Amino acid sequence: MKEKLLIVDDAELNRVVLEELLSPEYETICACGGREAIEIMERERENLALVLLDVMMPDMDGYEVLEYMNFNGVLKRTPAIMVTGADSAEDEEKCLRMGAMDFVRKPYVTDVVKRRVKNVVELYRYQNGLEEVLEQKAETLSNVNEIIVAVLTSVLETKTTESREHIQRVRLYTRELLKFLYEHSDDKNGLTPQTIETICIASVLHDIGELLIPERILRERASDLTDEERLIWQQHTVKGCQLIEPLKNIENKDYIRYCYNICRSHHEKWDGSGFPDRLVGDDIPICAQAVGLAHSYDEMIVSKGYTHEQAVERIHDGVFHSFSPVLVETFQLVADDFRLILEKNPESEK
Amino acid sequence: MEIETMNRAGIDYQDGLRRMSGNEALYHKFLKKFLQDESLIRLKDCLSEGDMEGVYEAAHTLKGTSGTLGMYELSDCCDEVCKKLRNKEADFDIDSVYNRYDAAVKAIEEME
Repeated sequence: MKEKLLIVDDAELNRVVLEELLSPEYETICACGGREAIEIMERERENLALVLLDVMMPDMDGYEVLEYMNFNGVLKRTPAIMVTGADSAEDEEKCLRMGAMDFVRKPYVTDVVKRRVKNVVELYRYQNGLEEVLEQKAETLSNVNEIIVAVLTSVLETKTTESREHIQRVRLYTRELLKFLYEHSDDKNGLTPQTIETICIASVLHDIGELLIPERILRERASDLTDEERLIWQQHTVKGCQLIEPLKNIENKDYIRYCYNICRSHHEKWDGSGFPDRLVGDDIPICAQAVGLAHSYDEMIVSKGYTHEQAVERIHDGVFHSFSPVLVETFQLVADDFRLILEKNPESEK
Repeated sequence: MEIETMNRAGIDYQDGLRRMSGNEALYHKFLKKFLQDESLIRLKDCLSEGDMEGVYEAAHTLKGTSGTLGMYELSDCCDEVCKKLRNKEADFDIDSVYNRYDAAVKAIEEME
């Protein structure tokens, strides 16, 4: 299939020459002015492989069209080559500054036009193709992630007291919290839909350090631990980081950073009374704050036997001074979703 | 057709042909097409109406198309007119544009 080019020139003869020149290799559409060009771009959207744009036109000049293309993001996928006058070095500079990929001077040498068009079309074909490849790759990566997550969940379930359902729920609660925070708060905390997904996958590893804690201590009820045993248990945060540390060379740096921060800081508290680093306030990474709250809610209900309402109330009243006011407020607003997640992913009978 | 005749009419035949990648049939086709170009008529109309912006646009278009076809004398004359108009000077030489245009058109019409 031939790629489509848009030729914009107010002089008919120029349009005809360019069409004749380019039609053997491309499908050409012509516009006799800026306004018509924009109409065509709106209709064709991503179908255009390139726009050949005359600078000097009466109704709406090439710069205005270029500005439109820039503003509407058209230039990201569809490059523009400007056709400028011979004596206008200024124009050329301006074209490039405004985002044109290249220019040809009038009067043009047909071979030069052909060559430049071909170069730019190929470059963009490559670039646009690359983006698609990257999208596909991201998809494959998330499939691989799913598998790894399943394996790790299984390991954690066997060797620690963490249940498969708890891990799944913490992941889902975390997503609800961060999604709401991202969508409704002015300060996005550096979150994007992409980072939220990454954080959720990373949340699975929050207690991976428990693999290095004696099972005897893990099986003990928290209230029955001696001070010494409690200190050993608290080490699971730091030991988790030791497990993650060697992964630092893998490609997805964000993922590893989130894993690390979540493992290390999910027991930190807003008032600085947590462990292991006694971080205070927003020094605690947002991913760890969210996982911390999610973990805490789940533990209250599943391990300590509180009702949903009691758990919500305790978190709301700041009983543990554990969480940021913003996060607590967010939690209140998504608490019903937490309940639903819990209902849909109940602990299995063992 | 003699290259000499074309050159005398202000058409740099060889360079024009080079611009068309040496494709003579294509070059001739576009030269013939130039006969239907309405820029000069528009230029005259605008001039008689005192619409100097229109004159500028028409001269600019004519400059572009004539340049594409190797009619450098005509395109240079148009360029002069455009420059004068840009500077709001009234002493532009429109007759030389007419003369070059007529010469070029005549040569094209006589071309086989």
